[in-house]
Amino acid sequence: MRLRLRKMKLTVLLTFLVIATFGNGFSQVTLSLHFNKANVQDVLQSIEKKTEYIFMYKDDIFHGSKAVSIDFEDAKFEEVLKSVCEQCNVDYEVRDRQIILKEKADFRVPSVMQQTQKREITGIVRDLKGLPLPGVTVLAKGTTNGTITDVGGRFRLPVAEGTKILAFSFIGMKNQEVSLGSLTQVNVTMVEAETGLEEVVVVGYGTQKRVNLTGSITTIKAADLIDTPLPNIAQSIAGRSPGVYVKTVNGQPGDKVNVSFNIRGYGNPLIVIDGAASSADDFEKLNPVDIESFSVLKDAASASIYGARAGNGVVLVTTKKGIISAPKVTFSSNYSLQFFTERPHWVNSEEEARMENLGMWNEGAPATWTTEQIQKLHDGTDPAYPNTNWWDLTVRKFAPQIQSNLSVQGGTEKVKYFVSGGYFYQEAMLRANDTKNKVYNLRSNIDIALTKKLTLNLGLMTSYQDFLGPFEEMERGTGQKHSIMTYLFRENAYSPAYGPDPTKPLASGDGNPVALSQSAVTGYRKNKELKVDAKVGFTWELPFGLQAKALWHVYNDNQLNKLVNRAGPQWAYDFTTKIYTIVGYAEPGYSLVQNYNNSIQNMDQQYTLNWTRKFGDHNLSALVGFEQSVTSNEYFQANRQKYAFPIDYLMAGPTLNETNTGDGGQGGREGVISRLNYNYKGKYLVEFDGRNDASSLFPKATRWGFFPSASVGWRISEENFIKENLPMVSNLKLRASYGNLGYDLNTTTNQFLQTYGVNGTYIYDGATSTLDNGIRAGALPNPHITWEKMTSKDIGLDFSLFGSKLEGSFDYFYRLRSDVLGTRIQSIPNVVGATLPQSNYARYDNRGMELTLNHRNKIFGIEYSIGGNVSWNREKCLYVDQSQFSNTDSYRLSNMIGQWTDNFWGYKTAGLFQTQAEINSWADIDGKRNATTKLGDVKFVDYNGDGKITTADQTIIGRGDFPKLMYGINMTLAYKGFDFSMLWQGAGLYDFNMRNAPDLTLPFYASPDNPQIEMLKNSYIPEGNPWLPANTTNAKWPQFQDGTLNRANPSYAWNSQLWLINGSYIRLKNIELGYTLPKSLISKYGIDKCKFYVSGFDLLTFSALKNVDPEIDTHAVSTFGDYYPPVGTYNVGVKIEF
Amino acid sequence: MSFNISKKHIMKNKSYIICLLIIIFQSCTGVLDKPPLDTIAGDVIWNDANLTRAYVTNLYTRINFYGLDMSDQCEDDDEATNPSGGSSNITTGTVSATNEARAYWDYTFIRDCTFFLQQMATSTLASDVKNQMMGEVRFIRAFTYYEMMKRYGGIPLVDVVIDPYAPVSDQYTKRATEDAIATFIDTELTTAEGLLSDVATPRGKINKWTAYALQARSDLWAASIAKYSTVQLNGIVGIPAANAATYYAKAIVAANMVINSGKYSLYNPQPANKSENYRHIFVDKENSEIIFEKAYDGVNLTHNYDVRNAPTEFATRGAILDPTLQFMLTYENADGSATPPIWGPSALYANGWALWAKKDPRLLGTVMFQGDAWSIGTINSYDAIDPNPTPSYNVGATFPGVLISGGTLFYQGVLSVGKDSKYPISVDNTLTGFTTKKYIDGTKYKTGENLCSTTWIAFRLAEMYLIVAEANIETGNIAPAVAAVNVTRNRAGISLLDASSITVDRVRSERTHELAFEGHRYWDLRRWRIAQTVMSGVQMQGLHIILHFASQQYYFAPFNAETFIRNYTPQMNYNPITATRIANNPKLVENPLY
Repeated sequence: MRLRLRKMKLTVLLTFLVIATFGNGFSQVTLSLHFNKANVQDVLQSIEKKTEYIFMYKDDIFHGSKAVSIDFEDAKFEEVLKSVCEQCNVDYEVRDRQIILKEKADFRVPSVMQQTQKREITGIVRDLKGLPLPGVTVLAKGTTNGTITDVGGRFRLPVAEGTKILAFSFIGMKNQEVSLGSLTQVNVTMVEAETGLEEVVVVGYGTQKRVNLTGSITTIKAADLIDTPLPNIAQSIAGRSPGVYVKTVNGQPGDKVNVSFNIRGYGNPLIVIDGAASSADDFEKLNPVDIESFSVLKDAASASIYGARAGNGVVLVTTKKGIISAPKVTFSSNYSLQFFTERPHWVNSEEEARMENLGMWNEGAPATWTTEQIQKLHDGTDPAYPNTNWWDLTVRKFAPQIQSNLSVQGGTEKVKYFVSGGYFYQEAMLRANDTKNKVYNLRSNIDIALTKKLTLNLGLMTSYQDFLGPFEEMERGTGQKHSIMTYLFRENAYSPAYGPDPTKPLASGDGNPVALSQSAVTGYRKNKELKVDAKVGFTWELPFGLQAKALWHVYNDNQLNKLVNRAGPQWAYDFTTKIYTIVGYAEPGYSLVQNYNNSIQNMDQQYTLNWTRKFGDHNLSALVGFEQSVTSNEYFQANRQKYAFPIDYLMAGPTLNETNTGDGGQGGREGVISRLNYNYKGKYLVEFDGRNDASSLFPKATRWGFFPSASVGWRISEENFIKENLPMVSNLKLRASYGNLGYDLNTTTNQFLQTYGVNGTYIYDGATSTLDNGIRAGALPNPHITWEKMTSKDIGLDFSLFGSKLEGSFDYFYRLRSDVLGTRIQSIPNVVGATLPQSNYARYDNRGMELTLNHRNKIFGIEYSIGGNVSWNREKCLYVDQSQFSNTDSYRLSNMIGQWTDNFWGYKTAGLFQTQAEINSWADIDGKRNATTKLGDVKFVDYNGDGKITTADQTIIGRGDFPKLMYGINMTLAYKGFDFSMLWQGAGLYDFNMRNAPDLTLPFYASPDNPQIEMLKNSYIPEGNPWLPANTTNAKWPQFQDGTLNRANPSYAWNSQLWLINGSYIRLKNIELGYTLPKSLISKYGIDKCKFYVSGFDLLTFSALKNVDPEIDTHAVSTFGDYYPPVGTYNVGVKIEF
Repeated sequence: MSFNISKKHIMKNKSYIICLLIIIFQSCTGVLDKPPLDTIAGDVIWNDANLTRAYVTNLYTRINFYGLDMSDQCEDDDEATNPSGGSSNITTGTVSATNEARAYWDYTFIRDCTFFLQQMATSTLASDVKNQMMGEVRFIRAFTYYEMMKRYGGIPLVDVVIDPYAPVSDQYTKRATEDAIATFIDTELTTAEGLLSDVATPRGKINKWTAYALQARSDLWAASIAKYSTVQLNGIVGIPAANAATYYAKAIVAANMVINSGKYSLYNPQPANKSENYRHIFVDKENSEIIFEKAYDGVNLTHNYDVRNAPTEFATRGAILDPTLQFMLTYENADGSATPPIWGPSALYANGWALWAKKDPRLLGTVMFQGDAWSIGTINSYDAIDPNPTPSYNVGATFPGVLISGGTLFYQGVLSVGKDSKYPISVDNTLTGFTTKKYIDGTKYKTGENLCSTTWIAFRLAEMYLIVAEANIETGNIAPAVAAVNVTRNRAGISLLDASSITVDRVRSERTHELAFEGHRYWDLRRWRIAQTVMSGVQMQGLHIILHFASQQYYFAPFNAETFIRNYTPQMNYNPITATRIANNPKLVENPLY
């Protein structure tokens, strides 16, 4: 028997849909209903829409009943119900929100009182997460005797003696049958049917059933993410969704952006949190446990409703809302140990000294180290000749991290709430434990039914970050000279870190990282950031199926940073005379205090009107809306220096040479939103989206743009020929979309305005020396500037087979970018006295494919799933301005039109020179018939065969450093209380140019020296050298000499295959083993669920790269040698629900 | 299907709808037009006197005040020697179409000036305020054209704001003739003179007399070119000789306007001490001789002239600008006699200065030498001690030979080389034995970087007299030339000239010494077309200064301070346009011989 349940409005999105007002009792509900000879099912549907009640009935109950006519205005619900039932000749029974309709004559309400019933079965139905499931139909199999679970998931069903099987069913879940035997209590866990055909997906400005989607949207549910919290939510998305590219570029605690995140390789997506446009920083700082779901809008059809900002895709984040239930308290806590995923391996001091000597020997210069000195380094007994392991002294193996959260979720018909608080604590990997990063998060989402038609939606979020760290930055930022990591990468193993006195760090090499990582030596930096985000909204049900919504959003981000610099002396220690002398100071050599304040204010408002109607088999919905947002920021900073007292406030410092500055920025946007959906029988789907968008970044004439898109879908599985011939196909949908998008974020503000900046000072009167400030015109404005335009096409196929055991999806996409901002190569004559600003003219295109497959089943009581996704994309340049090419070589080398944008140019290589004869006969590398070329130098391939190596011999030897291929494989297993999950993630089709890491690859790169990484021990070492055993034919790396000579040596200085390493990797991103205590053990303590787990992130990596984490962003730092490597974690945690 | 909405229902909803609409439409205004907060948006500035003044102030800061800001101004002639830096291209004759020295091609600045003048056409500011500023900006633009004309000859004459979005081929501009540029500058300055105030203070601000001063200088330039150059490239370089007389006459008129304005007078508060009087012209701020200056306060606006040029002992770096022996010897004796100093051990002098005792007092105001009292000490630039009872160094013999010389060597407790001497050899020590005194503030000992506050004088009254003298002598008007040249000679305290003794060379010599190290000399050599003789084929010399210990007296020996022989090629009388600029604007033609 098939039961037909009306849709279960259980998702959080419910709150945006129909809300009726309930008093304490049933009879107080009123409603207005007018039907004339209508189909009874339409009437029931209408009632469902207007109230929170759900009707449940068998298919055939209304057979023979006539059309229904009713006409009520503000009538009591019970009255209406009675009238409908009478006309249909059915009985009804109310259980909580469910109204069960029964046939009058034949169906008897099962009752304990009846003699034929011998026993009563009770139990609780839960979902996989252990949450009680209300509304599950429980039937004695083979009868019509059934009931429905209540809010607590509980049921009570008297059954006839001899009843063997209970059947449980719930839309969106797999049906379950339980053999009764002699049981009187049956607890069941329902497993989601993975497609969740009824699943509701968050889309731009609304929601949609997944089956009705025509755009390319990926969703990630919080359920997959939250058990093992990560400091960074973006990280946990990695590998879970096709086309979503996430790289953890950096593991530094604090305010650095750690993750590079994009969709389909496009660039920064628009991030929308609970309906309001947000920043990547806000996204990274979201408390993971607050998140309900992510929707990633990838194609034009789904993203165009966000207009001129949506070109790179949109990520919609929805946080948890209240539900009607008793208060549910969840506590989770997680303790982690962070570790560097890669630690470069350095040579020891003896090896380093030998390598230095070898460099001198190769150069024909006298040895730097005597044999005796090298022996002392070898023995390690003389403190003046140490073997300092700077990494071990500066960096520890593990650093702790703690994350705890407490949340309450629940509600009544009147008020629904979700409130949560989170605390996050993280230390840095530095042994000097002076870095403390604390983040406090509070969130409350409350929905209040003001009247039966009007709901007030409140959302309040605050996050407070309190960061304290040493003054010296861990990683070199733009424009900075150095950092702790820079020094760490450059210290020599033969330099001692300390003499006998541990309070007097020795100056060594570029700086002493052990000392510089200590606040006591360098000072500290303290960053406090308070974000407050408040949303107030109304949802208002109007006649004709209309629904109006309004949302006001205010956001404030206030950053207060303080830098205190101490003049930490650096010492020299004479190991013979045992005398310390100060030889220098860390940083500028004097104290300095800087206060910096940046404050960001955003205000948004949104008004939407939604209309949904069904006309027979025709389903229509439409949306119109208006949105406006205003942003502004202001900052100031002030400095004083050379403090006389140790009081680190600005006011205590000398006013001489004090400095201060500040400015701000502002912007605004407006958009008109429209959407029209139509489907016929849920089979043929059509959607039109459009947005009229305007931005203050552009002048009046080019400010407004219209971004339309259209998409179609065909649910082939709804066709009879599939239903009849291929019953294993539960869903098969073909969809295609086409549309226009924009992208304005490559434009900086005021490019269309002639602006003037304060510039220059002049003294008119030398007697008074009165200073006059000047102002000067900025760059030439571009009065025509506008957004990049993007045309996006997507064709996709979704399928679900064998009762959702196998599901998948495939997409092919193409995106054309035009009007991309570019510099005009045709320079104007300098007599004009100005240079042209960038203008919108360049064109690029992207194409790619995505595939997802998932399988889920249960065998021998083991629930398991395995799934994977893979995506590929690549970009080509279609048009940019190019100068005339003087010859075919320069065309081949420099022409970009029609080329992939990630081509990497360099020289092919053919190993290292092993004999002088080889050098003599090889193509001319140095322009001097190889007179300066040495044994062990690189053999560059003469690509054009002209007998000399010139730039014309470069060819495409690899790809850029952003992966073009990304994939993920995940597995879950659940058996009894145990669950296990594993996520492998990988990337490919990209290359690392190790020349970008001279700290790792260029011998003696830094001044005065550089320790050598172990890989360079595999350098070419000529025979007959007295310092190291000869290493000629095995050598992988070129011969080396002094740092300056190496830098000039083409072997090291030219981009070549030698330094290009395939970046492909696969890593165990996440692995987790959890155990949920049996209910019987914990229920007496009032605990609903208690789970313990151990897990790890980035535990294993397989990659050709050594000493470097394959995910780091080579663009993030100027030379990527001195980065703070990404960290992995080991975690233990607990999650308890009351 | 029918719907039946009650009236009550609608009434209730109406208030909501109205509220909603009010909120929507109230908030629509102004959202898309956000003025920037980190910069000043266009149109507001031109009707605000203070902002407009600030725009002009920025133009002042960008004027090419050739002089104090230059770190290597010292290469150019027989005044000094320092073979490093860009100046070595000039001393060694390696300037080429791809290797320019002393470049100045700033059409961005010209555009910014012209843009201002264009904006003033519609500004609502009071006309007197506008006129003064327009006059200043016309002066600044003319000054820029003058500086470019000095280098390149004829250049594109752009006096409109070119539309950068116009077809590129329309934007290409030909070089105007040198004569046209000179005429343009003269006309512009005449216009400016009509706009500018006649109040002569403050000295850093452009007024009517500033404009006349530039006009005199520029017309004298044009006159010299007309007289001494050859017209080439159809007049793009060179000015027809026929125009010489007109330009000389204009120069005289303009210079006399300044002289006769009564607003300025030659600085002369210490007539008894001619050297100190002369030195103080350049350190006494806002003095009566200054026509136009760039002032510094040593805190917010600073330069490094002292740091780089004071003697080593008195500055953190020091002694980059080193006068040559040849240059010192060109100074006349004050009494008009011609006795030269005597070199070698046969002539012992009580101190360094005694060697130059007869010279023009301006030499002591211009150059520092052994024994000079300076700041809190004495200049010690001797570079050897002669320990022999009788002075025995054979001039020309291998040095030191019989002498003691070395940074760490002592003789009877006395260091063998003076602290300000050329030993130990480094860029921070004098290479010739001499350092400059002009413009250096003697009150500051051990001047640090970015602390100097001396005013750079762009125009002073003495130059006006010298322009009158030169223009008259070049056009054969002897009497006014004599009168003018004697004004500065008289103040300097040297013998006066008369109609029989005055010559073009003596007028030039007077100009050279009065205006030494003020940024004129190199350009004077170019406009007189004598650079290729004065700066070519010579090896610049310095002077060994030797302390004869027994007598505590000094003797002197010339030596070659430069290791090379100067080479100045004729094409260097114009800078190259350069290949880069021609590639950028194909209508430009390169200067001759490049």
